[in-house]
Order: sequence, then structure tokens, then C-alpha cells
Amino acid sequence: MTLVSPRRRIGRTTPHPGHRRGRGGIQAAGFIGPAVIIFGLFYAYPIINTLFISLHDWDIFGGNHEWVGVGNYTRALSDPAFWSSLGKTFYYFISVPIRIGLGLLLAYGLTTFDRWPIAQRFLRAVYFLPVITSWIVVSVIWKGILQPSGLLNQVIGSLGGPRLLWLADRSLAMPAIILMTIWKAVGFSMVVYSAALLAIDPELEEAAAIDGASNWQIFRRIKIPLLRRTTTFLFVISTIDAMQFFAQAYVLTNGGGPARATYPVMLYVYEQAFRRFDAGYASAMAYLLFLIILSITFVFNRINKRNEI
Amino acid sequence: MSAVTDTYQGSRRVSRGHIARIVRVFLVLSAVVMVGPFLWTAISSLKPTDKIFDGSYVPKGFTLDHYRRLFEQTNFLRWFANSVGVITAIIILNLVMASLAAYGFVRLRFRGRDFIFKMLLVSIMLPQQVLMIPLFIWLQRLGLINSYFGLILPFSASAVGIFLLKESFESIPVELHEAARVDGASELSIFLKVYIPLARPALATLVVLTFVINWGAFLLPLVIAQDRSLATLPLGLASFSTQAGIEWGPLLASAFLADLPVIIAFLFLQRYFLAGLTQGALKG
Repeated sequence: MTLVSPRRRIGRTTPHPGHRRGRGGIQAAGFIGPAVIIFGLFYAYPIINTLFISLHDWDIFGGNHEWVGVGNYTRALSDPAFWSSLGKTFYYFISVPIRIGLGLLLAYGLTTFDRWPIAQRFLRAVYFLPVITSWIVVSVIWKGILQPSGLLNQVIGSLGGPRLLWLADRSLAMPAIILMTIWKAVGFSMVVYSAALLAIDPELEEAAAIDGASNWQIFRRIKIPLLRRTTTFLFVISTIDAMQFFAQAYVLTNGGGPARATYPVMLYVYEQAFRRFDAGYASAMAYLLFLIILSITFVFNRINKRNEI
Repeated sequence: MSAVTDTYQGSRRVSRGHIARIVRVFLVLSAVVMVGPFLWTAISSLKPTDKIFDGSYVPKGFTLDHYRRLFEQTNFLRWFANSVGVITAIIILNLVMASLAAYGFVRLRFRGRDFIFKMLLVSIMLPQQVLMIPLFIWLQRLGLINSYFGLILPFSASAVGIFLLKESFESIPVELHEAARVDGASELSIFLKVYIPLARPALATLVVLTFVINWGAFLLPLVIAQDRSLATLPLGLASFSTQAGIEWGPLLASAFLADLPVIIAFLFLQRYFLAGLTQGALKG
């Protein structure tokens, strides 16, 4: 208790008077050790190892590996199948602004339900239900809905629309997956925006209203700018999420069909590794995807910084 | 003054009322769109096979046949049991590891503490696709492919969980810790008797978060459990839904049953769900 080491004054983030020196290291190891071991074994080591593997011609099941340098990377860059599957993943990014925009609309709309808290809570729960439902379950449900005689065509038909072959038509399969994604993910943006809207000082709105600003003006000129950080955050999170586009194509379109119209790059990586056993090539592509995610995050953060006052 | 604001509000009330009505219609319609697919699945799973796609909203016939066939002719119960077992272990391990680590980061001082914590946070950023291949090769070398340990251990600690509990522990006054130390309590007993009971809401949030993430986990389990007998629900459902000649009745029944635990948990623990998924994401 009375022992105060000189080091304690520097770099202290949490005040901690009751610390006995000497036993600290052992104690700390006992507390954070288990988690650190798990992270080291199953995150840190594999990540570094991916880089190592990606520089080899590496058979995933055999012991065969041969150094090829950046060979796998140049191979990816000149592989049309890699580019076309990457194109499908980028196509899938269309869902990102839509799910964020609709989420904002729902969150903002819910604030007008302030006088009926029960209705508000009920609606919020309903919008959130698809978020917690797993991708596989969502894909199975939508596989049924998108059948020629499924729920979606039934609704379109009752409005007088045509019967569409959502999962068999090359030009409709991606829009169908995007539609499903918006349905599943919009509730997440809604909840995040709801929390952010609550944090806005109501006096700002009152002051603007007294000055004669319309609802739209308040929304456009006050709320949207104040929500900018939240919006950037949602863009980063949703883009990373969209980059993982895999289970949807695996189940909904039976592995990227029809005729590879919905074949995402993650499925290509998976098949190269576990169908063709080419772990080196698959690792190189995985690292390229990682670089894309990093640069997207970097760009969004720059935009965020620039907009800060 | 009040007269002025009154007229302002009076003139705006007309348009405000209109817009409010449109917004409300939009909100209710959205709710219908969100619930519709769930209801359609539940209702379709109770229709006789030839009536599933007959376009009726209200079933004309009612049968539990699909559920019976699901239990008798597929491995659904096996998948379900696998999922329950794996998730129980994952949740318990996450609780233990995250709370221990969070306590270490908040109340103990040791060299490299901040650095180690930052490294853990970086892991949140890492996408699963980078992990997939080396994790497989590594688990293969450890003999953990096609074993329950392989489905559990890599997911037994999460940085988001540690972060969540760290926040909670930080909000507990240091004075409590000091007082307990003066009384001669060890760090372990302070942790168990003071911090854990006070962090109960955060622990509940962690349970819910871990449950949702791992109940639906697909890509990594797909790689780790190549053996069908180890399949968890997502793996079972995926293979069931991609085989030739889909049996829609049992398939929709399985989707509904797989989602039921999530829906029920959500109904009872709503605030932990909302807290967990937004906080987890915001902090990450």
C-alpha cells in the first residue's frame, strides 16, 4: 500500500493505488493470460502465417510447399475469375448505402412515435428481428420467398406485376440477394442511428423551430451533419460486412449461380483452398481482400477527419 | 412571446400532421415487410406439401408432418444438439476469459498493458477470410479438425467481449477496490466478490452477444467441421438447402426451429440484445 514505485507516475491510465509490486506480473498473467493465449494461437499466429503461406505454392492437405515469392499475387491480378468474382462482391456493395439510408429513415420516423413508447418499442423490436437471425436461416427463408410461386411473386402478382424468376434469371439474382441483405441489415443501422439521434441536444431543434425552420430543414441542416460520425462508422462496418459476402451465395443461389452471376470473391477463395487445395493462391487472394478492407476503412476515416471541425 | 410561437406552430401543424401520417404509414409498412417472411415461413411449414406454394396467406390444411419428417428423416436433432453444446461451451469460456482479462486491464498494472490491449482491439478489424486458411492448417496440425474442441477453442475469447466488460469494470469506483485491499482481500477474491456481481448487466450483454454471433457462425465452422456428424445448425441447414430436390416443408420447418431460440431469447432479453449489438459494434 505504501510502496510507490517511480514508474507508477508515467503512462498511468487507470488510478490504481492498491497494487503490490513484484506480484503484479504473475497476477496479470493469471488474469489476462488465458485470453492472450487464445488470441495468440487462433488470431495472431494464423494472420502472420497467411502471409507466409501466400508466398508459397502450398497444398492445403499435403506437406508440399515451394517458395514462389509474389507469384500468387501476380497470378491473382491476371486471373479473370478473381476479377469477375471481385466484381460481384463490389456489385453487392450497392446494398450498403441503401441499408444505411433506410435505417436512418426508420430511426428518424421512430422519433415521431415518442408519444406511444410501447408502439415505438414494438416497431424497433420488429425491425431488429432479421438482424439477429443468422445469414443461413435468412437465406433459407428467402430461398422460399424468391421461388417462382413464393411470397415475393405472390405480392407482386396481387399488385398486378409480372411473375419473375428471381433466382434463375442472371440479371435478377444479384438484385434479389441485395434485396434480402437490405431486409436483414436495415435494422442494425436503425438501432445505431436511434442511439445517435437520442444523443442530439433537443434544444438545438427547439431553437431552430422557434427560428421558423421546417422539419425537413432541421433534419437536413442540423441532424444529418451531427450524425456524420455515425454515418461514417456505419459505412465502414457495413462495407466490411458486405466484403464477407459468402453464405448468401452458398445457400440462396447454390454456390453463386445462375452461371456465376452471384459468385462472390470469398466463394472463389474458399473453393481454391478447399476444392482445389491451393492454399497458397487462396491466401494471397485473402490478403488482397484484407488490403482492400484496410484501404476502405482508411478512406472513410480520412473523410471523417476532414469533416470534423 | 408565447403568442408568436403559437402562431408559428399553428401554421406548421398542417404540414407536420401530413408528413407525420406518411411517416407512420411507412413505419407500419416496413414492420409488415420485416415480419412477413417469418410469418410466411412459419405458416408454410404447417401447410401440406402440395399447398406450400399455392399462394394462400391462410393455410387451408394444417399438418405437423414436416416437423415429424424433419426429426425422423434428417439429422436435425443432431445439428441442434451440436449447436447447443458448442454454444454453451463458447459462452462459458467467453465469460471466464473476458471477465478475467478485463479485470486485468482495468485494475492491474503491468508492463505492456496498453500495447496488449491495442493488439486485441486490432483483431476486431480482421476479417474471417484472412483467418480461414491458416486456421484450418493450424487446427489440422493440432489435431482439432473434426473435433468439438476445434469448433469451440478458436471462438472462446473475443476482443469485443473484453472491451464490453472493461467499460463496465471501469465504471466501478476504485474506492471499492481500495477498501477491499485494505481489508486484505486478494485480487482474485475482489474480482469474484466485488466486480463480478456489480457487472451483471454487462455479463448478460456479453452472453447475448456471444450467443447471436456464434449461433449463426458459418464460414469457419464449415471449414473446421468437415465431418457431417459434427455439423452445427447453420452447417446442417446449408447442406439441407442446397441438395438436389429440395423438400420445402421440412426445410422451412428447420429454418423456423433454428431461429426459434434466438426469437425467444430476444423477446425476453431485448435490452441486452440492443445494448450488445450496438455497443459491441460502436466500440469495435
